[in-house]
Amino acid sequence: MCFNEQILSAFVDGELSEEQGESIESHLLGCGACRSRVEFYGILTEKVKFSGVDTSTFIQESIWTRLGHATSTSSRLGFWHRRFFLAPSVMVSLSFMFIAVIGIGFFLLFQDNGSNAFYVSNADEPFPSENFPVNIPVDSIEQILAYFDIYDEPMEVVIQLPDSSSFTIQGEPLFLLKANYTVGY
Amino acid sequence: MGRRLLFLLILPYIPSFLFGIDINDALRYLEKNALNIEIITRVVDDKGSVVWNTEMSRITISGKSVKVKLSGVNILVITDITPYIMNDSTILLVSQGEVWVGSSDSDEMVHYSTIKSLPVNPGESVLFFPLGVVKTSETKIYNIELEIQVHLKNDNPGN
Repeated sequence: MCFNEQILSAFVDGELSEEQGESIESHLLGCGACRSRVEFYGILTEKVKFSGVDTSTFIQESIWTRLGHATSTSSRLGFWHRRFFLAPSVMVSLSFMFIAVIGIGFFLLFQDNGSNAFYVSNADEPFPSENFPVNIPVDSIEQILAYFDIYDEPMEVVIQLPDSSSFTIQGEPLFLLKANYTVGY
Repeated sequence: MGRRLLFLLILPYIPSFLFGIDINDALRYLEKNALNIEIITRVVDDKGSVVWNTEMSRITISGKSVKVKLSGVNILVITDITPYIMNDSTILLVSQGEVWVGSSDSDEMVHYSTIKSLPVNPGESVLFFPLGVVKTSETKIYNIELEIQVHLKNDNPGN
């Protein structure tokens, strides 16, 4: 009867008792298959031993943590031991989208409008007003912009009478619609 | 995932869509909603003849007042005219007038103040008599009257 992989591996590692070892050795004399597996485990062990692999403490802990998570459904894998996976199609799509956004941004930034890519203010140069046409008649603009100007002062009128007469109060000041005023007009 | 990513890409541009103001649109709005106030100032004698007059006009917008200052040999009149465009396109004209009249015989000065709100149609005339209305007089006197008209900017026949 052949032995299982676990027992043969333990035999190669020298982890079995003397009696168990003698039992396996007597079996190996008559079983080529088991003898091949033992030889394979021996070669593997030698290669790992002399491979010079430097396993740091962190990697060892990560491996044991992953094994523990794989064998126990109740334990939760810590953040640093998780492995994040995105489907290749998703990653390719995100990459193309990122490149497109960057490309559009550069295109808009460096779009040639007859001027340099970056506007540099120069107070000595006249502002090219033809680049910003305003479809409003000039006289209307002047009247409208005058409102924003300092023309907030009252309109002053100096009244001059034809002779040396002066004004006298006739009654209280009066506001009314012209349509409602009939006397003297 | 795709919708969230699309939203994140559009998000930086939303404020410019909401709050962007074009100067041409602002000017066109002002041109459309501006008001033109025309004021004709007359000096009338006791017979009703106009002995002196002047015309002036100023552009304003709803809620912005236009001030007129009349000064004479012994008189100072300050008129404050504020138009408001109502929902039915009529204009509520709020007029405030202050009059200072000095006496030639003494150093006394009389001060009057009045304020009135009148709903008017565009182009309808409003009269302001800062010295009151002359009824009858045997002596030669002069009176001042202001004729005020408010036109919607685009309806002004002069523009």
